[in-house]
Amino acid sequence: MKCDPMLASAYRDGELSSTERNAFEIHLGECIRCRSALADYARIGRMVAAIPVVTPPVDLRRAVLNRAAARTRNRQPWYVPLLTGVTAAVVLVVGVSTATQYLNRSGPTMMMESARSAAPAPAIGVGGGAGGGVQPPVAPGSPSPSPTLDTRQGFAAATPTAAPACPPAVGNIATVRSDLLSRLGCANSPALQVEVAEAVYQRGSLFRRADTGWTVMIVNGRWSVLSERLAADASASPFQRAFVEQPVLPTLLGDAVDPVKQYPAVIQSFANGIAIATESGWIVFLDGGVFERQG
Amino acid sequence: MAHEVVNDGLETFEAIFDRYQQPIYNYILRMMGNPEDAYDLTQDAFLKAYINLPKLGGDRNVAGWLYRIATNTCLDELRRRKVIRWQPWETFMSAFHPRQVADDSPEGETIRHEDVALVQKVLDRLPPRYRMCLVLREYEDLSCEEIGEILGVSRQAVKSLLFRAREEFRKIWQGIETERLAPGGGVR
Repeated sequence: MKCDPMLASAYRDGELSSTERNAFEIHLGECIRCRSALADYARIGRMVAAIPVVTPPVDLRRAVLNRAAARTRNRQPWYVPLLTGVTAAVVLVVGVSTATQYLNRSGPTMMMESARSAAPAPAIGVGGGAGGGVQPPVAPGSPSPSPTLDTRQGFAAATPTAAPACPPAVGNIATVRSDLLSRLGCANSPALQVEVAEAVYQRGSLFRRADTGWTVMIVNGRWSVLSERLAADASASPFQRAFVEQPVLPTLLGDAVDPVKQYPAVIQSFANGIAIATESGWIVFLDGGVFERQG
Repeated sequence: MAHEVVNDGLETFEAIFDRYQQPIYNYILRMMGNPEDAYDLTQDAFLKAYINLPKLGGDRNVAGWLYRIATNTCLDELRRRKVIRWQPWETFMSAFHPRQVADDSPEGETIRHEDVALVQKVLDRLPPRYRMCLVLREYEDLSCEEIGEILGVSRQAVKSLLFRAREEFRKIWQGIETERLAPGGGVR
């Protein structure tokens, strides 16, 4: 048999026919060059296979899914925004017409009383107080997340600052802060009322959304997802499991400086990040890892 | 939170992503040699997969389809740069906490860290198509036929590429070993 190291390569890959394989095995017994090549190829294979498997970065999942969701929005047919605009115009015209008729029939006092009783207070006040700050959510601790703003209220309130190109969303918590909205982009989820927990340490903090277990770590103004679904034991700190799963956390974060705080908040996902409205201000997780807190 | 968007395609995509993110990320990492590129290109590859998801027939090999997208994403990027960046393994390793590196491979325990560094160094020096073939065959354990489907070449061409890749690896490796064993030599 002719000496050909390419046969050694094919032999290693199981690409020789049974006849070729038998002939090559006989040849191997008498050809040091082919034996050496085969041994080296096997060694190369072992070395390449032994490169450690690396866990992808924790925020890769969110980054990919956000881009996919943004792509879905951008692929909507050309007539959808047009229809949305037309629908809004029709609603506006009908609403104004109805209100005018109602006003003419009942008088201004009666209309104001009716509006107060029909509409629950929005979770997020828009211009409702000094500076238009965040108001306490309507029903803190509700068992399942629910949109906090009625669509009509959200859009009526959003009109002055919302980006006009954005498709409809149920509520829009960033409308009170146009500077936030310009950086966050369009909402891609409803505004949800949730319970959150926060723990502050010497060198950073942990933040967890109670209903899903989504947990992030914030260090040096950067955030990263620790877990998409971190479980919590009701009798222990909501972050206890994180410390069990990630023993490096004490080194990264240092000692706790405050007790764990648990409070209601409103959370919404946007094209470029996540915004969370709390009673004390805004928490913003921008894509790319930038974390901001604004009072 | 993107999964809260009600969309069947997105849900299917999420399931595919969760199943394949680790192998595809590691494949791209082997191909590009550094975690920054792996992070960016894994995103690009999965986004392309999402866009082309409607074209994926029910009987298609999802893994092969994803590897093909990942391969083309890497090749496009390498062509765009017109240069192959060589990143030392130490740079890559230092970007990760040790706990993020799985230690479940028995062979991995027997290979020294120094050797792993050299292996990546040699892989980085291989022409991209040689590197792809070798990684897909030895790291991902794919057959020549499967690699051919991913690279869009015949099985015979894959056999030839694998042979040349091994010979090139052997040559570079021997050069590095010689350099390392020479007086005053060492791993840079």
